[in-house]
Amino acid sequence: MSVNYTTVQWNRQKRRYDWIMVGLIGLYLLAFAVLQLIFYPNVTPETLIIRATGTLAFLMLHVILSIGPLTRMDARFMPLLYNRRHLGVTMFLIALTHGIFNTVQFHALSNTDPLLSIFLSNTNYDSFALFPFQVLGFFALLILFLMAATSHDFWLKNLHPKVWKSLHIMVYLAYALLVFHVMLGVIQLEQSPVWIGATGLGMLTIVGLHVTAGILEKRRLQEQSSKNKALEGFYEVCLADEIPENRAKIVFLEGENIAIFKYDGKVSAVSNICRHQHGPLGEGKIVDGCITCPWHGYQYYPGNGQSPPPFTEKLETYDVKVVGGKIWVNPKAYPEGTEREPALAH
Amino acid sequence: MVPELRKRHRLVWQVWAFLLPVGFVLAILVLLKKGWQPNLIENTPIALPNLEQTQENEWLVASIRTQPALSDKQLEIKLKKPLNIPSAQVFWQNAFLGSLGAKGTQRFGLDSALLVKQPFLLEIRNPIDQTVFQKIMFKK
Repeated sequence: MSVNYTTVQWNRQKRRYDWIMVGLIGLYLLAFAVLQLIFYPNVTPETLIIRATGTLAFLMLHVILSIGPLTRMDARFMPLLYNRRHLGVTMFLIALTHGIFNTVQFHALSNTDPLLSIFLSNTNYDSFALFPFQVLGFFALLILFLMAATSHDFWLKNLHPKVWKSLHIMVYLAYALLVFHVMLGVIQLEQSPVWIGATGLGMLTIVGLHVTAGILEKRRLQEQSSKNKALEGFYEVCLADEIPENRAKIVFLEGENIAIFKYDGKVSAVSNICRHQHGPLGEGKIVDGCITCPWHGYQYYPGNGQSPPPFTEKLETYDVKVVGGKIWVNPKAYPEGTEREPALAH
Repeated sequence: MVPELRKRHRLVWQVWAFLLPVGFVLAILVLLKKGWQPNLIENTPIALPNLEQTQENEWLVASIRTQPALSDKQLEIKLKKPLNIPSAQVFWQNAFLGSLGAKGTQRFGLDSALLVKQPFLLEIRNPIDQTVFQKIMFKK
């Protein structure tokens, strides 16, 4: 959370992850180049760059798409979520390199404009086997560009959450386009079982992770709502000891999405939905006395749901009590920023 | 994530869980129908010792190479300059041999089944727009 916009908001943790990311990218490119030179000694530098950047960007997209469901299934993956934005922008730059080299190598030598050539050099739009797979890659790259361009804090702040999320959910469309871009490219140009196998495995992993995370989450919410019973407006949600210090438990009660935080021997309940881009506050933690959103670092005081000055964002708050070590919450929301007395954890 | 967004995510992946594997299987079926060529860009690394016949044009030098006591032959293609087509595939007597790189020498094995009927027709095709880029005839 910052008052001014900066080009890249680095902190010690992000810097560390970025270095690890750059190191792994370098390692992949080196290993890929060595293997290519061993198996295809006649490969040209341009082709090597096209293949290396294409495979790397596709692999990185798989990693990026795995982070969401992994985090929802196991909080230990949370640090990856904090760094996902840098990973996404880097992936786009690598995909762009792939696109530029392909356009220059395959479409810049004829009389047709290179960009037009992508669409016109193969017009088998009515054939599945001969479909111009480059076009799929072009549109996927366009989506990735829009996402990378609007990932900056300026757009996060100025685009409405619904618009921003609708734009960024298009990564799923980009992924589908890229699966077919790769598969059709493999059919038309390569036919290597290695690439087919790797693409299939990656696709099954991503689809499997998302579907499993969705099913588990739905089941958990159903169990939670059937287990909880209201008593004078309060619902018993969990034992106070179940929540780690400075962390939260998320509950859905009477349609309310609530995050119950434990900190400094106290318990407070606020809306789980960050006012910034609707991030899951309950998946974040308390840093410097403030609830910190795991998505973009927006902060709120747990007792009143208000952002520290000069920020003006506010959350709904809820009544909470601890009886015999058990936490009870009343899902009737107070207006945004209303101070509520925290309950003592013990 | 708000419940509405969560639902949207779940819905997208339920659709993708059906569409992506179906498309993937269709692609493999198309590939099997088309004829599997797993070594499209692999080259025969070592040249056979004898040069039987050579044809040349402004783009490439194509040669048939042989070895005593071996019925199979070898097609060698030396590119003189990068081709001005996006992608180049080599067809011998209408049989697909593999793809050409941007420069250098590439060799493809010609088994006896491909050497039955003369003259031999070598075609460099552009798979992107399905055109024949170069046509070379080998006659005895």
